[in-house]
Amino acid sequence: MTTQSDEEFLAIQDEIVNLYHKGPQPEPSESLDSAIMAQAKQQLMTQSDTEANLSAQQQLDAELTHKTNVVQLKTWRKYTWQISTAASVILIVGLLLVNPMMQQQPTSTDADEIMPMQMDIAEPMQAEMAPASVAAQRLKSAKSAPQAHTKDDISIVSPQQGVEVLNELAAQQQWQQAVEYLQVLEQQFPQIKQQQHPLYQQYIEIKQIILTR
Amino acid sequence: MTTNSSQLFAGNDKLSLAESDLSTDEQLMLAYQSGDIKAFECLYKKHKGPLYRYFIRQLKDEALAQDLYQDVWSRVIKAAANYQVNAKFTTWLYKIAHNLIIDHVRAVKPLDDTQALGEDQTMDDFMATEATEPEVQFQQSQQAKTLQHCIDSLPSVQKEAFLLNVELGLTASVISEIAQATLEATKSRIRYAYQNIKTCVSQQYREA
Repeated sequence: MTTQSDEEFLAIQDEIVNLYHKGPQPEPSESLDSAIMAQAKQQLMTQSDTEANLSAQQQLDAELTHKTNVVQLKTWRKYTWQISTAASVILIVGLLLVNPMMQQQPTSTDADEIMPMQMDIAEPMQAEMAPASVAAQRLKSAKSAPQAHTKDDISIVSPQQGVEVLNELAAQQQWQQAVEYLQVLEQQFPQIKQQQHPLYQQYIEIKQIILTR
Repeated sequence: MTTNSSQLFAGNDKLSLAESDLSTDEQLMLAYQSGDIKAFECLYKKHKGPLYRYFIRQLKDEALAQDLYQDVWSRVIKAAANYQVNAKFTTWLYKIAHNLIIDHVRAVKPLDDTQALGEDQTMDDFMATEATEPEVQFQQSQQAKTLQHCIDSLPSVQKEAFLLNVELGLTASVISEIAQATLEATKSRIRYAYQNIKTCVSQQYREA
C-alpha cells in the first residue's frame, strides 16, 4: 500500500463517509426498543421500591427506638456487660501480677501438673533469654530446695531451675541431696534426657559430676 | 462529512469533567439516575442507531448482534444507579460494546475474521448472502451495496475502527481508548480501513 498524503487520505475519507451515509442505515426493531425501555422503567421502579423500603424501615426503627427508650440511660449503664467484662479481666491480671505466689508456688495438685508443663513449653526461650532478675529469683527459690529432706518436698519449677539447683548442690558438695534432686528432675522433666533438649549438655555434665562422687 | 476529516487525527479530545462542561449525554444519564425515564428515552434514541449498526456491521449473525445490542443497554441500565461521570458517555458505552464483541465473537474466531475476497470467491457470493438478509432493499444503490461488501471484507480491527469513525465521528484518540489499542495502531487501522475500502470499491466498479 502506497503512502498517501493527508490531503489525499482526507479526500478518500470524505468520499467513503458520504457513500456510507447514502446507503441503508439499519435500526433496531420496535420490539427491541420496547424491551429495552421496559427494562429501563423496571429498573427505576425497583430502585425506588428499594429506597422506599429502606427509608420506611429506617423510619420504623426510629419510631420503635423512640417508643422503647422511655428512660434515657447514662453512658456507663448502656455498656454494663462490656465494662464488667473489662473490669474482671483487669482484676484477674492484676492479681496475677501482684501475687507472685500464685505464679511460682501452685498449691493444688492440678497446678503441680500444669505449671511444669507451662514452664516446659516456654523453657527454650527462657533458657536463652531469661532476664537476670528471673534467674536470680529462681536461684533464690532453688536455694531453698536443697533444704528439703525428702523427694516429696522437692518442687522443681522448670528444667532450668533444676539444673541450676543441681549446680548449686554440687558446688556445696551436698551429694545426697543432689542425687535426690536429680531423680526428681528426671521424673518431672524426662525430656531433659533427650539430646535435642537445650539443657541436655548441662544436665549430662552435672549428672556425671554428681554420680561420680 | 468534513468534520470527520479534521477530527480524525486531532489531539487530546478528552472530555473536561467539570460539571459545567458536561455534555448532554452525561446530563441525561444523571437525570435517568435521578429517576427521569424521559432522559433515558432521549439518550436511547440518540445512540440506538449507531450502536445497533456497530453490531450489525461487524457480525454476520443478526440474532447475535441483537442480543449483544440489548445486552449493552441492559448493562447501562443496571449501572445507572452507580453511574459517575468519569469519561464521556459515548466512550463508556462503546467500551461495553467492544468488550462484549471480544468476549462473544473473537474468542471463537467466527466469520467476521474476513479478509479480502479469495480466489474462489466473487461478489456474487456476497450478493447471494446479503440478499437473504431481511433488511436488504431492492432499491438500494449498487454503490452502497458495493461499499457494504467492501466493509465486510475488512479485518475486524479495521472494521471496528472504521465504524466508530464513520458512524459517530470519533477520533483516533477516543477509538484507541474504546478498542484498548495504542493511538498509533488506531490511526493505522483507520487509515488502512478507508484505503482498503476505496481500493475494493474501485476494483468492483472496474469489474462491473
